[in-house]
Amino acid sequence: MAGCSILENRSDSSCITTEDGCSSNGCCSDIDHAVKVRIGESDDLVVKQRSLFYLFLSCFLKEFSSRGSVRPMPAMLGDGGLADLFKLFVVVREKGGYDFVSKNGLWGLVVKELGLDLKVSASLKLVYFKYLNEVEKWFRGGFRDRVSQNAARESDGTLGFLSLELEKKFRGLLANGMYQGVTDNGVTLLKHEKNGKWISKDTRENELNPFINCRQSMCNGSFQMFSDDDKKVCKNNHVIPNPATAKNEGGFRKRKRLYLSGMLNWVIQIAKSPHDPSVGGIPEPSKWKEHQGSEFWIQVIRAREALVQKKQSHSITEQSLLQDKQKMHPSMYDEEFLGHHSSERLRIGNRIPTPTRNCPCSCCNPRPASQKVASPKRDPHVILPSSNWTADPFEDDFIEKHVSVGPSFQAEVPEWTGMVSDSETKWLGTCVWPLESGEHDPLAGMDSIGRGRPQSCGCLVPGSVECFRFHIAEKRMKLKLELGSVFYHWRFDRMGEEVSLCWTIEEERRFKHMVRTASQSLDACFWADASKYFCGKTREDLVSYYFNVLSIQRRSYQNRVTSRNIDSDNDEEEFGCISDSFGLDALNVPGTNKLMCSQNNQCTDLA
Amino acid sequence: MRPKDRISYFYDGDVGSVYFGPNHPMKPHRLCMTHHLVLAYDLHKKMEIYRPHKAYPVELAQFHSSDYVEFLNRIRPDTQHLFSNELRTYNLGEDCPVFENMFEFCQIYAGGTIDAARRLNNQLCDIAINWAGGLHHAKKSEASGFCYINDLVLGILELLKHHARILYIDIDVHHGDGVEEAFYFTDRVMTVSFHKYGDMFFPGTGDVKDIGEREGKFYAINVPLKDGIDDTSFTRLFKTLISKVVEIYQPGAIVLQCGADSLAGDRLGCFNLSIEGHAECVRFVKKFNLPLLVTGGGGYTKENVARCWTVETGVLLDTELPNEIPENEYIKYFAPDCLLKIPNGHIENLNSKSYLSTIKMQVLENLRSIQHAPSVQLQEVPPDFYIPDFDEDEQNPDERNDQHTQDKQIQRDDEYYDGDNDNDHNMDVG
Repeated sequence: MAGCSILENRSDSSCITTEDGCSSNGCCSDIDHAVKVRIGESDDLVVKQRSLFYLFLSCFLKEFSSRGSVRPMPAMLGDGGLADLFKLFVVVREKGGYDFVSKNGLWGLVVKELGLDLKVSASLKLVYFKYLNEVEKWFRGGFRDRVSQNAARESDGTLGFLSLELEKKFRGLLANGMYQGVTDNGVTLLKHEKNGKWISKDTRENELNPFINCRQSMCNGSFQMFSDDDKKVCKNNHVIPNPATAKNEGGFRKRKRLYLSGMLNWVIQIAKSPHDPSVGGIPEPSKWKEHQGSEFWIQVIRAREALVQKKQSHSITEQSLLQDKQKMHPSMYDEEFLGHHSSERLRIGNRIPTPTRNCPCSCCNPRPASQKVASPKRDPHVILPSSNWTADPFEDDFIEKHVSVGPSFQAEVPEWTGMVSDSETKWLGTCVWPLESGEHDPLAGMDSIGRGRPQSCGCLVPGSVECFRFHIAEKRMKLKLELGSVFYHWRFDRMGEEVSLCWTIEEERRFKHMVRTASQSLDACFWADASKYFCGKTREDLVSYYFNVLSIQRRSYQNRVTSRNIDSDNDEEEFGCISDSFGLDALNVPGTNKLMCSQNNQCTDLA
Repeated sequence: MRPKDRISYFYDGDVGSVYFGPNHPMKPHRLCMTHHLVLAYDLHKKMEIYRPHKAYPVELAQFHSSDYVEFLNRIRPDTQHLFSNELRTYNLGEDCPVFENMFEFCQIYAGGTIDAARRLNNQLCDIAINWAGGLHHAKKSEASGFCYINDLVLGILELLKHHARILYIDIDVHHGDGVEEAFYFTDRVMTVSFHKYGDMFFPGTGDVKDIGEREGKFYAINVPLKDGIDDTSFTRLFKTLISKVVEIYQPGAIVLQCGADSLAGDRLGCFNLSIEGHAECVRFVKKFNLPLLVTGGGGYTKENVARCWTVETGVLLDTELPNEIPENEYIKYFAPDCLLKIPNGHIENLNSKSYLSTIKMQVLENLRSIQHAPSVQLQEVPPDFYIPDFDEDEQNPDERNDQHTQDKQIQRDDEYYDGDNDNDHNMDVG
């Protein structure tokens, strides 16, 4: 399919191994901008979208021509006039696409809207068919192929830069009023997602979520959704459910971020010893495209291109962002790197002026630079820009982090006078244990403190499900008797798999399905929505069910089936399940007799 | 032997149902698991358990700016889109999402640490434990790294009402930047943080060169470490430095942040510490016999967090726990082995001997600066002060010994000089 090859083409020429760092950073603000811009400077934007569209189209057509079908540009109509492909595309898409327009004889309408003579309608249709139909198809249905393609590339260690490109395209279309089309795409995406057929979740999330979020904000028709959406998108970037990369749970912040480190280390090395023969030479620019992106130098070059390109597209929103408060990036501070980076920055020629200290993802770095950035005295590496323009979108990232000083950071510590100041004696906490006399005998069970699990027990089949359940229930009963009212204070009545007994099988099934879907679409609204779907259940109930039942269920599945890869903290992990229920049915393990225990029953009744 | 330590342990059942949101590594449910495991080992029989009061906004504003506290109190997940500017200002969203009952959660964990400090102040206990606390990244008017309210700073401020000097020790894998920053200018709090530093690791601060400023110069200690540090080198370094710090600084009380993300196999951490090594630090600090406030902190592999803090509760109660985990509701989380010990990590230890000794020398060098120019406030010597004998080559420092304690009491008359703050009457030496 054309889409795939284009993707290949594009990603080859501008490939960059930034999974979460760059491209997704970009998409946050991209969307942000897109929507903001829609409200304000839409004229400017149309121009911008147009140029993006043509950029995209030319790549597309180049791919065509490489396969023998030449499409000369610009496209000519029957009367010798030039066709405005962008406008044509927009209009046709608005009407419902090529097929729909042809079937319903709407070409005349299209011609009118384009302000052309009716007699060119046939050639217009032809032009559309030749030039744009593939593009349209690609937009509509090509996702699956592209994504899997991307996934494949990524496994080679080279993530297509296309995601960025794609976003731009979409952004363009979005902002230009083609909601319908994009919404369609959004829906398509969601459907695909639900099918669960796709290969790499990472790619899917990184690529598609922005659109889904876009769709949401569009559907809501409210630009106030930004912050919300931003947040979602950012969050999405953190999730890399692929087991191989699970440890690298992406993040700009406390969560991990490792993707660029190889490249960055390489840059550091170069900077430290520029003449080191082990570095090797960098070929002529004309040969860059031949490289697949596995070498660090090409990654660096592409990273730079990507950043510059992104800044270009951001320039529209300068004004609104000038007021944005920014904070240095918390995770990038390497001193050496910083030093060389700053000097490097001065040399880069093709820099685009950009808003001040604006990291691409405004929602991720949302602090006042003036407050947080160390003063030049303390940080000689920082080159403070003379105007509001700075060169590098990641500039802030490379500032060495220092302790912030000033009255708005330090605690007020009084001088020690030698006198003990008055200390609150009222709020010292409420003693809940040991219990007031009468409820509890303090000497009872003193001998058993710190006892472990008994090695043997009197169960019929030690180590069996029944045995475990029996002992857990036994322990629970003991605890309940011992703790008395504290048992409820500590919410022990809402702990353990007992929680599931308050749920109907249908509810459990629905919730499980919901969690599974939510973990894929990473919808932050999930919990809010969930409590609407399960009337009578509070958010606490749901969370409690999640941790006490679902999570344990997943864990026990892992314990038995994938015991080498246990990770109960990964929300992304699929829920495997050995048995569906935790009621008595769970005991129906073939080959064992049912062991009914009065204590066990008693305990379940209490829950 | 002095009478047994009185332990106050803080827990509120409501923290278990707090949820930061899907895929957020911070899961307060770990506190629930920890409490369960503590009870499964019957450790509650040896201590008093308290439900903390919910700290009032005015208490939180003892450190935090009141506008920030007010905002935390006001913001709700369903209205947060109306406050995008404020969210940015206060660094909420992403790492620190706004979730249901967020402020209440902050009130509970901060209340726990404040209550713990007050109980210590009023000498109602010798050791106070609040595993829900220890959120050391929060800044004065900004959330950071899953932390909203810095309960440690609030607890320390409370302890400062009764003690001239507080020692803060942080063994979380992340730098204790919030606490360090809060007390960067003061010599009344010495902050010592052992953490991973470099490779863009959060939060990015904590270079060995950051030592405090103004009066606080030399009173902030950073021990930056690289990936994969193991028990032996960590505990050795810890003991060397902490015993020296305590000897020189003579704190009136110690606050110990026991972030469990420095354990091997943590989702966000990168050290190779076993629970035993982690707990050894707690054991060592306990031996100083100073009022001790122990808090939790990071820790993103739930079951290991529960294991670790249970073992450390045991350590503080002088109780050795058997390796087989007793039955409890959450036993499946500890399956398949259901053992307390966790396997050692396999991350390559990038801390060379020479690197560690460079760090050590640098820290000790800074400490000497205090020794040579003691601050005025060093005059106050806490009562009941004891430095365990620690020999670097010896792994198990000797047992507590009363005569030994007497011998070790340090007379610091040489460091007295005339001034307004002559506190001789407060002395309680030997």
